[in-house]
Amino acid sequence: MKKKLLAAALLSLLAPAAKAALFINNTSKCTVQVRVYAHNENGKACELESKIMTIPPMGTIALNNAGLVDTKPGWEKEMKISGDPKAAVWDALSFHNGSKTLKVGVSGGCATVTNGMIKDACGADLNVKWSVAGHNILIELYN
Amino acid sequence: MKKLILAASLLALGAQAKAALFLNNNTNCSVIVQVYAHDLNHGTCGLLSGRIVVAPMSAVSFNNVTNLNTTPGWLGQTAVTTGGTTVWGWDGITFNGSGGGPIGNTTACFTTDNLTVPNGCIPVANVTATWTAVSSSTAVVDFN
Repeated sequence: MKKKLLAAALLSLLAPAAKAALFINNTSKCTVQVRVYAHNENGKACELESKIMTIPPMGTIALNNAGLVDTKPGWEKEMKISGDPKAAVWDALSFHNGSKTLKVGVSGGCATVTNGMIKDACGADLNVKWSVAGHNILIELYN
Repeated sequence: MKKLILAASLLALGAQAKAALFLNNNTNCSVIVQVYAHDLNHGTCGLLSGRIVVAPMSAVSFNNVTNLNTTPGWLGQTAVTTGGTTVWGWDGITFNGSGGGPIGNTTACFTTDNLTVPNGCIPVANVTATWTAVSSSTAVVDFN
């Protein structure tokens, strides 16, 4: 039993860092504005809140690691990723339509759902869906 | 008139398609990728793109096959999204010259969705490419 526990502990130590990218794909007919949430290795969920990212219709964003947000568009409260940026974790994404917000993300983070529907800024129904793709997070926005 | 309506419906379908391609390089060495795809005028793997350089620790993304029409191009061909993602789609990649692949959607024209080859840097290390399909038509390729 002890050996098994030790083995499990060792395996978790050996497990590679998150190395997770964030991909956002907007196939809606409307420009979308979103914020993303993340935390540093050993940090608290959603401790980092990005400034607004704007994605045109049929536009995409691909972020290899959360460290890239430091420079564009930056984090609120002038925070930066600390430690290994590859080990930082994506927690959630929020969409704003001017009056309402829909936040999707991992359970145990700061979002309560992984997908939902909200009116976009053009007045159409917009689906916002969070899913896992390999080690990465994929967010799809579509009408 | 009917043709116009048909064209409009097809356009509407195209706009709803959610089939992006993401190339994600987690290594410290650039990878050079060529993409295989299909559309209304080209069968499975009938489109092969020019070379795309994905820098170390970076990712590139394409919302649809027309995003590659100008840069890097489809080796003289032009892709269209007519008909939506039931008509067009991503099939696979080849990378780092002839040694890497092709790999891709194993229901398309390739037999494997992952491959390990030497990278193009000195000192040489291995790079593993893994093709993952998401949401039926979106594809993510990780290089580790």
